[in-house]
Amino acid sequence: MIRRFVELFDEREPPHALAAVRILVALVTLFDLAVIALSDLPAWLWAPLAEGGSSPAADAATGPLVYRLIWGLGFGAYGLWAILLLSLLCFGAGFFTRTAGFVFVFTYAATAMVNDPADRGIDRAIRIMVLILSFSAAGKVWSIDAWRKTGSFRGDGAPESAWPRYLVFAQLVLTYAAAGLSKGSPLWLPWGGYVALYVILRDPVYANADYSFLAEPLPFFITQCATAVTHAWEVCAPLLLLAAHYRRTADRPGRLRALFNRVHFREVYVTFGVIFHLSLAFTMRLGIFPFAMLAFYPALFRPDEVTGFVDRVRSFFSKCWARRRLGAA
Amino acid sequence: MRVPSWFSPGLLRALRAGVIALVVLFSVIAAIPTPGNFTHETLKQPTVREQLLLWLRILNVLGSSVTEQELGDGYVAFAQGLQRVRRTLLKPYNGLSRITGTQQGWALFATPDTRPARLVVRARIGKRVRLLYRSGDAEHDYDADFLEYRRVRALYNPSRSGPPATYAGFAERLSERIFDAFPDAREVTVSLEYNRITLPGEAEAGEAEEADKLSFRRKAE
Repeated sequence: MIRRFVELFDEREPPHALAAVRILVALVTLFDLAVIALSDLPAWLWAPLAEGGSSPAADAATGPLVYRLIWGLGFGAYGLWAILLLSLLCFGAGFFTRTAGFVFVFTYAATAMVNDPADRGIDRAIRIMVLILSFSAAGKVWSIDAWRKTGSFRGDGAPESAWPRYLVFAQLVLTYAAAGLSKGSPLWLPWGGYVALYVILRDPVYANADYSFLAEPLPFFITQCATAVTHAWEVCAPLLLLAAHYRRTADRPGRLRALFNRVHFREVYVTFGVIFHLSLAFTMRLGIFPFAMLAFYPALFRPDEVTGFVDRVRSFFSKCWARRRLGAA
Repeated sequence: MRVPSWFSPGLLRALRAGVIALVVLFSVIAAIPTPGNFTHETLKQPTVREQLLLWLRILNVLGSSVTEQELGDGYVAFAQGLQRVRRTLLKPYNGLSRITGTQQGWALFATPDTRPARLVVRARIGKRVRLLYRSGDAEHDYDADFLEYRRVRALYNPSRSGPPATYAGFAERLSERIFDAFPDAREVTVSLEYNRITLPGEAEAGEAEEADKLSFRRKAE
């Protein structure tokens, strides 16, 4: 068993899935940094109280090392923001990817230490994923680093360590499973009436519209069903690991294995996840949370599946463009 | 650099797998939900007490004769014991997770708030007190995009233990922002209005309760 475990983390594959996560995470987080700048928020969030900040923990004398360094060099809140922006741009573009990733994680972590309330769960998730990607070959394809090394942005697609993708996969499973297990309030459970989503959608701070119509019998029943399904979907996340094992060993016997492979469990789970997160994005004010979670999803797929998807999308747009040009001509 | 002869590729692979296994183990332990730093004071919070009474009703229906006091005491003892075990197990992991900001903890809407708080912002402009903003109120949505941005919302949105440590700083910064936008404004008041969400069929909620009021006067120039 230990030998199999060591062999699993010795597997190699092209890093396209990791590169996809790298690019998507960077895009989503860059959007968030843009909102911070356009809203004139860096000082609000990260400066000491005396310099226009809001957090008592933001102290240039006793704060975390990175924070003290940035303040000591006279950069201030906007300097901190600029370091985050620059490191993230480099990380997303795959320019000195590893170094950029580490700089981003440690700087981002410093912002969390000086203003914990403004650092949400999704920010922690982003740091975890970027840290894993910084130890990986995520910058070896679809990147400036690839162009520098091979003359092509696509890189050479040579097999690299697969364990970072497995860790991203495992972290996603852990996040959903822990979220599901945390839901100990009876509102998430049958004896509480499965009213959790109804209560959340009636919260004026999170709901993006007036959902008082949900009190009507049919809409209320739909929210109860959605609550039950959401909770079950989260708690069942570890089955993704089982599904992955069954896919790898599809030639072995077993009714459960056959069932998982026949129903394409992973695809069903991912489809629900996409619908769930997009529903959150349309009904609630959660910022980048739904999109950042979706940005991690490419790690659930093998590199050849990711490149296959990218090729299909590219082919679709090429055909649309060709038809448009023909129409114009 | 010459690698020692005993440092074989096999040993390196095993070491790597061992490190990854440790990371996964610590991550799982850290992610497993616990009640956190739960005390008898926590039990007095309205949302928490509501949950406790709901569990009490369920247990009584199932035939248990446990009282509210016994259930509360038992839960506090369980929560604190679990927290001690968790803290001990995670000691080697805590420092690294803190400096990288990679703590696990995924209580996402774990306890939906049946008494959510709305942010209420008023300004005295001239002789009138004007309601500028109130969460979820389409008729009073001054600067809504800013105030509803997730990181700004986090600066004032209370948890079950009350407003965050950033609430006072946020309120002061907000008052400065409003004084800049409204040259005639003399005073800004920021408060939290607690409403009760009723389920279909339940009696209408009573009056909203306003709390955590902070007022700021324009500084004389």
